[in-house]
Amino acid sequence: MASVTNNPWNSDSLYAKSLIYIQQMEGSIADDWQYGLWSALSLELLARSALSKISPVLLADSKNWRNITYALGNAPTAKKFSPVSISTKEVLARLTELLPEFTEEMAGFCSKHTDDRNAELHTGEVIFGKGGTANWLPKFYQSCDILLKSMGKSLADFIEDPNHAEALIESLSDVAAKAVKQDISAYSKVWSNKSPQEKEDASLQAKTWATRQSGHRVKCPSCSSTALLHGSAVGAVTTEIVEDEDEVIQRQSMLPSSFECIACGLKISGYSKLSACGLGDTFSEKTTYTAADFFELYTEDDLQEARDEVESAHTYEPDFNEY
Amino acid sequence: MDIKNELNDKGYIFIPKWNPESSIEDLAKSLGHVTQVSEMFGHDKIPNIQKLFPKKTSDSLKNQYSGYYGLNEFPLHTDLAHWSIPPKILMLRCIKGFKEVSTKILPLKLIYNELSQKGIRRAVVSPRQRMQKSEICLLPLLFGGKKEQGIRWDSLFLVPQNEQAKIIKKTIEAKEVVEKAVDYKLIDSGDTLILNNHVNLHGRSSVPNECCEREIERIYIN
Repeated sequence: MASVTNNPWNSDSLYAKSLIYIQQMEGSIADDWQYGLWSALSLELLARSALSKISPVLLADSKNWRNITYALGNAPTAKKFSPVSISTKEVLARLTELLPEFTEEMAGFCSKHTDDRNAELHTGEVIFGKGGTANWLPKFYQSCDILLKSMGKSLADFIEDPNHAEALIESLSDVAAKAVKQDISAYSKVWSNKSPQEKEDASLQAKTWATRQSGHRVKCPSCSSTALLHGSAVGAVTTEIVEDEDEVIQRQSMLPSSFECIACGLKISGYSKLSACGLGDTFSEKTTYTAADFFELYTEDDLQEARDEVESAHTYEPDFNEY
Repeated sequence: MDIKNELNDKGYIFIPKWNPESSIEDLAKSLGHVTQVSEMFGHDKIPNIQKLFPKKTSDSLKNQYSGYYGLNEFPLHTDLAHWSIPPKILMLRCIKGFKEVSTKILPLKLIYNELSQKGIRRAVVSPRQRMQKSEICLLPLLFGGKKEQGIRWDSLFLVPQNEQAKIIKKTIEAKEVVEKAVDYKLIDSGDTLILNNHVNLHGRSSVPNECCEREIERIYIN
């Protein structure tokens, strides 16, 4: 029998509470510890609300199936049942996979902010209100923005001064662009000082390396050699069965997360920096399986191996010198 | 007349003497899926088609409007505003009517800009707590998502939980807003008022003692 009133894992309930907490944050002075603490509490609820918007079942701890029926809005069917939801870290991991725009960088920030909240509440250490807001507030608003958009909402629905928040989010791209530009420029300078032979050898080596490693091959923005882009999987997996070839091909979109060029040594980490230097486009990762691998079938080799194993077990004799 | 189109465009529709011989359930089924209220948890005593009679406070339960307002005017509200998602369509059908009693409808688009400026997007309420140990969850006044948004309001069953909600309460209860509501009178058998409960508030005028035999049927459609 379905309940008509909200349950505590309903997206709207979590969002409403997140609103109350963000208003507590806005009612505090930015230098105060309360400002950071309320922001962390609000962010956690907002993340849970975004996941619940996809389905409240995603919040249920799967160790007990009754958590799933509870998430679906059904009345408890066992006495003394206490619903348990997943940890915030797991919430963030699921969001990273389900929402392509919610990058690993954002999940990392949210996770750190939640850890700070734990430390603030459960230790004697001063966590919030000691180092200003410049190092976290832009990332905080950026994460909120993406989570809100996934629910069909905007910063204007959530905070008092959305223009200020958007300006801070924009500043993140500026900072990332400046940092990555400096890195590229420094590595270019070192590269330009190498002899033509050194450059040719390094480029050839990089090309060979990139062919052997898994990743998406791109041109290095510093030395133009072949380099590799790594990413994290986002969105749905498509599966194609190629009957003629006895193969199964799966493709999945990847959001860039790190870059490496072994020719000049340039390394870039984080989507914001990659995006700032033109390496932010998603790419698809293709994996080809044999039908036997994909469907976990036994091949003729597997069967022979098993036969050999049985046979050797019967003919096995332990070492015993002479008898 | 295409009822669904008019309902989509205008948000509500009044149909005088609409097939008086037909049942409200059959007419409702032609518009959508009838909400099976009696199948909801804790609602098994409430029929899917409710018969509404004016009642004095002393003759009514405290969980109903009559138990609080009696024969006085019912304030503008969303039906079942405390539900997770209130029923979308509400149909009222006259069995026995009186010209002295009217149903008021306030299309929220008339006041949306004002509500928006006053922070409805950040307004949070909770259902009123009737039992000390009952579970209470917060609710945003603006609900829905990417496809469709609705507004809930009820000055009796919802309790403002932040400043924005208190301001919205004052705004909706203000005389100049209440006066924007349009009156419809369900007088003849079959007179039917269908409204989108997510985009309109509705209320009832006061009921003179001699009109206590007024009988209206109500059904919810999703």
